[in-house]
Amino acid sequence: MAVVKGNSQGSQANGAGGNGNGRSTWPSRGKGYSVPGSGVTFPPLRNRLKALVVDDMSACYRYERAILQSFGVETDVAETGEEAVEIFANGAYYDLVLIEKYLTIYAMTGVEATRRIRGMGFQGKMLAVTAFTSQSDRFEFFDAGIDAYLIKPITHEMIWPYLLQIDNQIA
Amino acid sequence: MEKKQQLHRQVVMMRQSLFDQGYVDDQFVQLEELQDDTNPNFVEEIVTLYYRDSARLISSIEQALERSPLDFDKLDNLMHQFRGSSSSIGARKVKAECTQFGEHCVGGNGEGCMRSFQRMKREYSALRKKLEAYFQVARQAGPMDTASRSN
Repeated sequence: MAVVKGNSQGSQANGAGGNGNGRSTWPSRGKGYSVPGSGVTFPPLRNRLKALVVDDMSACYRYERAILQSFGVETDVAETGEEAVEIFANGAYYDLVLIEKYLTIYAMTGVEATRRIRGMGFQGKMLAVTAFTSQSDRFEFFDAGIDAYLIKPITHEMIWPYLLQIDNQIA
Repeated sequence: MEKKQQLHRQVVMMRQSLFDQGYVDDQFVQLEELQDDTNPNFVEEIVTLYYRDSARLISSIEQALERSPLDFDKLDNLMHQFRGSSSSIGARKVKAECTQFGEHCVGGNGEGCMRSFQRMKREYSALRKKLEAYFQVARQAGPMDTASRSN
């Protein structure tokens, strides 16, 4: 059984607003997020989104989770590709997956995990989040099914357009 | 009260020195901006996790560098992870050495990898000493408001 580290209460929201597929459609609790000292304010998301971060570097996943949580996104973590695949195989639902290319050496890579998760029918947003790599690495990742490629470290400004797009797609 | 103020001034100076001497970049500010009442020690937490990740990676890289012939793909993968982790805390000089190392891997330059790795370890140790000293004084000083920080 995969160990899921996170702050979600399970795939079904407790209380009103579940839509039957594990995604909560209740209004976001957040008040938006203001980047200190910059004057930039992101309005609150309309929906309570749920994300999975797949990375085996604890500093990286802790940081990415904090960025997502600051937008009110419930965020779980999987430290290996195998864990991530198992989470989806067990029927969990996420609106967004952030996935690193290089996971534990010689175990399932982020590319393979992406391919398998897409193979299970997951249609949510998948973003590769990794240090700089070659053009061929990017093609390989896009071919596996990611929607975009972000270079570490992510920022609020980088992730916001994707959260907004997901939020706007939910009725 | 005066001692507190002195400590706060010292924290501000030590923090500024991290930037002025190129140890950290703007990403360190991103970490600070995520620190709040619900996560009062966020920056130190992330940095501590970074040390933990790094110890494992450095050991793996050392073992990989002892092999013959060198597996440049494996070395590149390991350093890629180290680079990603270093960039998440804004470790500017360490990140730069990781990039150099990666270039040597692509070029199949074993000597270059060794030299770069030694430099990376020196930068990593220097950064670690600086950050440990900074957090120690910051803990003694206690919380200060954002207006006291300068960039």
